[in-house]
Amino acid sequence: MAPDPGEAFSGGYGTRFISNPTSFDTPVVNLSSDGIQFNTGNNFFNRAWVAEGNSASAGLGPTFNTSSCQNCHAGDGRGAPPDSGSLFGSVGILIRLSKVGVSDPTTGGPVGLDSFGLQLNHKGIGCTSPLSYDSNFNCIGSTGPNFTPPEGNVSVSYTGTTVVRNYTSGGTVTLNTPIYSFNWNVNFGGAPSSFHFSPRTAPIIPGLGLLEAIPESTILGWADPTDSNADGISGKVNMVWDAKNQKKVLGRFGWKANEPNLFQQNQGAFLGDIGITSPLFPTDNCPTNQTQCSAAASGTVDPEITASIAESVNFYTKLVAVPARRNLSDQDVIDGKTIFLSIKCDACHKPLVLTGNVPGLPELSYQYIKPYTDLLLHDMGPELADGRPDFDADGQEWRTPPLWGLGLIQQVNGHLKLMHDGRANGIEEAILWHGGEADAARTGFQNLSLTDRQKLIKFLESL
Amino acid sequence: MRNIHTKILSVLFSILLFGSLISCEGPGSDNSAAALLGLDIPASATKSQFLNRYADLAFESYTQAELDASTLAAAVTTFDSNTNPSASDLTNLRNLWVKARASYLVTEAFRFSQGPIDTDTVLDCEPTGSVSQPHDCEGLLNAWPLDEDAVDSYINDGGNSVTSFASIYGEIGDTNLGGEPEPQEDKIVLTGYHPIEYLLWGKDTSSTGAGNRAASDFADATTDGARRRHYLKTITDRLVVHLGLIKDQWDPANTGNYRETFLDSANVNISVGNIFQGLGSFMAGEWGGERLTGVIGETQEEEHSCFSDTTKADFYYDAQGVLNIWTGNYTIQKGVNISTGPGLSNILSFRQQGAIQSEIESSRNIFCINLSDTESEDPNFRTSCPSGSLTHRFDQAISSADSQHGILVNVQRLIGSTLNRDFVAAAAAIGFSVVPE
Repeated sequence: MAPDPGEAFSGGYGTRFISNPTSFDTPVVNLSSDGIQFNTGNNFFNRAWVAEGNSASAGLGPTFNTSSCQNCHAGDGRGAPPDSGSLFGSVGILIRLSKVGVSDPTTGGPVGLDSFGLQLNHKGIGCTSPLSYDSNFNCIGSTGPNFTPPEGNVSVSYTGTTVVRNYTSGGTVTLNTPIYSFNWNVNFGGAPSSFHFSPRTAPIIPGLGLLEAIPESTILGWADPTDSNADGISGKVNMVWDAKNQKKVLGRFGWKANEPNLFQQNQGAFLGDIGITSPLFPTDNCPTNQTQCSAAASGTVDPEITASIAESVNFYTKLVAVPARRNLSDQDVIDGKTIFLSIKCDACHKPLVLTGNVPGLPELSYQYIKPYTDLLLHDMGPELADGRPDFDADGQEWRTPPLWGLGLIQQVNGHLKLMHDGRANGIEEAILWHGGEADAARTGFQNLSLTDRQKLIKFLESL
Repeated sequence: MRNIHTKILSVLFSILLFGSLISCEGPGSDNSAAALLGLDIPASATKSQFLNRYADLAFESYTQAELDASTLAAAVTTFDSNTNPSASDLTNLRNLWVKARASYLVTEAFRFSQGPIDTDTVLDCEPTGSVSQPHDCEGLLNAWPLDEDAVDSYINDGGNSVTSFASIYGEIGDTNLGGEPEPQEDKIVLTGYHPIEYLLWGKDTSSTGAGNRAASDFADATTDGARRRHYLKTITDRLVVHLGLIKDQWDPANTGNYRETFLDSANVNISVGNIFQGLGSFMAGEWGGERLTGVIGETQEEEHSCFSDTTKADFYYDAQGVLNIWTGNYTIQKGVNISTGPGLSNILSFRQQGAIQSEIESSRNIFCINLSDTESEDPNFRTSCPSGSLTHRFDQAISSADSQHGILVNVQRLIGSTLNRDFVAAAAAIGFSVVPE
């Protein structure tokens, strides 16, 4: 059977035929505007921000995780945890926090810790190298004028419970569970008595505008929260808070589908990760008892990015091209796709989707795309659970991540750490981590012959 | 626009001399007469001839940048030995920085082209530094923006020896890094043109002008004054070293350098392809991109050379650098060709060249460099600005409330869109692809 020539066009008409380290960093081929807004957005995406009080490009912090979008999404690609040890110098993964047993009565979302907020910011301004922090997160030596202590630090090791997966044809794979240890800043009361946390790695940027263009009706059509067709796959919509319109809407971005659209996702990341205030989130991210944070913030005009900058970055993230598939005529790849379908990976990883109309953006409208996601929440079992509810997502539920671009992550980012926290080393481990609703598909994979497993992986590498 | 009489004369002239026009067609000559006649003119140089000229141009450009930086460094050495420098001593350094900056900006068009300036596998700029990964020169020379507190902290921290470049270099980048590949790191900027600029001008606290550091900041009697001078000397000296390392890679007298690989007959199409891709990236990403982002953002903080308030020179000389590669002429001061040879335009036929040359010239000429005499040694820009050019300071025009903001919007569109599109088309006409990134 010959491959379908349309298969290559993972991202519709905008698909870029490129496979090198810049594969995730190009505009859609059919970009119809003059490119200025795209370039401007790209530049702000790449921009390294510096602390408040500087002459140019200021606004970083007072607390933050990293100084630019590009740091975590290197080459517009994927972030990863360190092999082990401190997250301090290792961008690409961050830790979400929340209180146990409560949700916000208005938004329905998680509630941040009194002293540390919704995300652990492990850096603060005013203590830039050559200075550094002592064990109490105070700055050693003289401090900058707006010194703001970081909230703490987290280390990871892969010494948790192991999960052993057997293959029917022989052989086993042992999976290592990450363990996170926290070092909380004692100035803010040290360790909270109880808390939820969730490690999240930075996903790739290509195709986000196309995901946003998938009609709600399509996603709702896939949802089957009570598993009425009894196929073992439910699929649930996460209803999340739209901060601009002040109402609950369908969520589709983030590892838990906890963000409704790119506009909010981007400005949320500016604030949460870099400490940059924006029109949607104009207030610095300083929990009330972080007095130095609040004092440092007061000296600056907020919001730190204008509406036009926010809109340019939004435009940019919508129109980064999805790279084309490769090796389509390779018989193993063709067979691999058949195997993918036969073990029902496509129940969640949808191989063909039609986008709807995006007013003003024909580049994204009415395109057949191959995202390999349904954007729905699925119970992925206790082994992957973070235990942290996020709007309607419970501690075991995760959004199906898109698989387009999967085979180019190694080339762009020099690693292939997969799943929400980067625990899986490569595609095979990622498949074997699947649980819960994905038990049947994973078991299907374990029952394959070695040859068929390799074919399936070759197919996934062609995405 | 030239007046119509000149055009008619040149048409007549070229009809009379048509037989010899093609063979006489040299770099930088005016093709408008042929355009009016609807003629095409074949490419006048081979790719190899162009590549040789490009390599010579690179060598000449970095030689000049190194020379001007050396002049600055020599003055800084004198300044460093003075325990109580005067305001005029400081002004002298500022003027020399402006000049050194101009000749470096002209080299920026060599970036993004897989060459020694920004490819760490071609040239590791600090191979013995304490940061383990190879480091490209561009980041050490020209990284931006600056955390001014980091520079001040370094100078203020008695635990560091400011006389050692290695100790300064050791603080670049996050020392707590794991083994992650670049660019997954938070870098701080302690070396290169912008920290030197910060030391010479100081914080930009004015809404309309440059920083205004007092000369007394460098006096021995002032806290950190001596250390500030030593720091300035250390990083200025190293600037000269880094420029020299790049220059060496283009030196025709050297063997085994990048120039040799670049000119290898087996690599002709790779080298030309890298130049097209690099210039395309430079136009959309840097010159018409990063440097002009403020035009949409409209915040004064977007001014690139904010301490010295010489941002208009960034655009002017970046344009001149692109023009140099396009025409093959080496020019810094407007209209003065220091040397000539076949440029990138000469491997294209006249029609394939399109309007690129005039687009580059327009995007250059819009920036009337209006530095006050005390800040500029460049006599070509002391006179009044032509009509239609940007006469307001960049940090004023960046606001949409300014009457000249539209000029900046137009030039951003001209570089990042029109010129970039025409450039991609020109490359495609002879089989090279420029992928936007």
